Amino acid sequence: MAGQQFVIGWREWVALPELGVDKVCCKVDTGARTSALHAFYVDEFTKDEIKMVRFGLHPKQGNTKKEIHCEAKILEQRDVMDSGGHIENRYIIETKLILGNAIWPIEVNLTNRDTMRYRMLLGRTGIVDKYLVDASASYLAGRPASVPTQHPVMSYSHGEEE
Amino acid sequence: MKKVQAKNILLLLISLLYITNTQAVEKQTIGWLEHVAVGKQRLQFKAKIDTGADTTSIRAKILREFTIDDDDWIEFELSNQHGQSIKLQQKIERYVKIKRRLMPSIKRPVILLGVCLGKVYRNVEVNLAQRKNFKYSMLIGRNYLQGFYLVDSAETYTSLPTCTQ
Repeated sequence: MAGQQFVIGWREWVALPELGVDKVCCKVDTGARTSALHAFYVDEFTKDEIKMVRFGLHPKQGNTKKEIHCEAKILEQRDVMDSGGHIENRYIIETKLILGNAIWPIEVNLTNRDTMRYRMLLGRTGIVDKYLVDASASYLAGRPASVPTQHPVMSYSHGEEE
Repeated sequence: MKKVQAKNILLLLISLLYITNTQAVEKQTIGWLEHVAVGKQRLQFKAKIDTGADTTSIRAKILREFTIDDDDWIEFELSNQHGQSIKLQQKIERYVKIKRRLMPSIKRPVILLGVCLGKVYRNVEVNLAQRKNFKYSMLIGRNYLQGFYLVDSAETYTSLPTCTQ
């Protein structure tokens, strides 16, 4: 492993600027391959012959009053196994993630899973190589920067199965 | 003025304490898959290292439950990917409620189990799962990792269990 590595906690504040999410608490989950967003609705539509999704997020944990409505291009649809071992076909989008002072693109699957405590999971393909996860710590990266300056490089070598 | 100084000194002391605390234990960096050895018999398993899970979990075949001096005990069998298995009897510490999507939540018995990862052997709470549709029969959760390990999600199988304890 080349270069300096930074330690992050098992929970971190992140921003998803392309989706209009300036702050959401996410669980950093080395047990999951892909990252996930828990939406309260997911609708497919077509814009200029491009397949898109429109979905709603409740960015605050335990609060259903604040809503963010997002749109994104569908990257693909893929079978994803959840923590209960059930396979579900889910929409995958690509969007930029801000963690601390860094920004990079991640793949995210969308699921109707608003009852879960964490609105977002950051899985292995979204945890760039320079980060190590400390299960005894939380929120080490601080608030997501509004103008991030670091651009870590992704490598998709984080295993095949969920 | 004095109040400000006292506050600064207190902050300094707290940060010193924090630095000494964090340096006291050199945390081992591990991958998202690791070989672990379980119990006194050191039965080897491939385990998924899961910072998203509160408790460690292992697939078990539950054989019977019984009581000793008003304590609930459980007899169960663990089998690894090589077809080797061990039978264990442990006191039930508590039950955990597992939230499941689109299904009612279930209760799993929690027992104390010795697990070796790298050079560290620790007795931790492990819940017994009777699930079959998973690739890895053991998930190492945060209750095992806390204070001892950092997880590099780009790595796998960084060490072999070599506990001497």
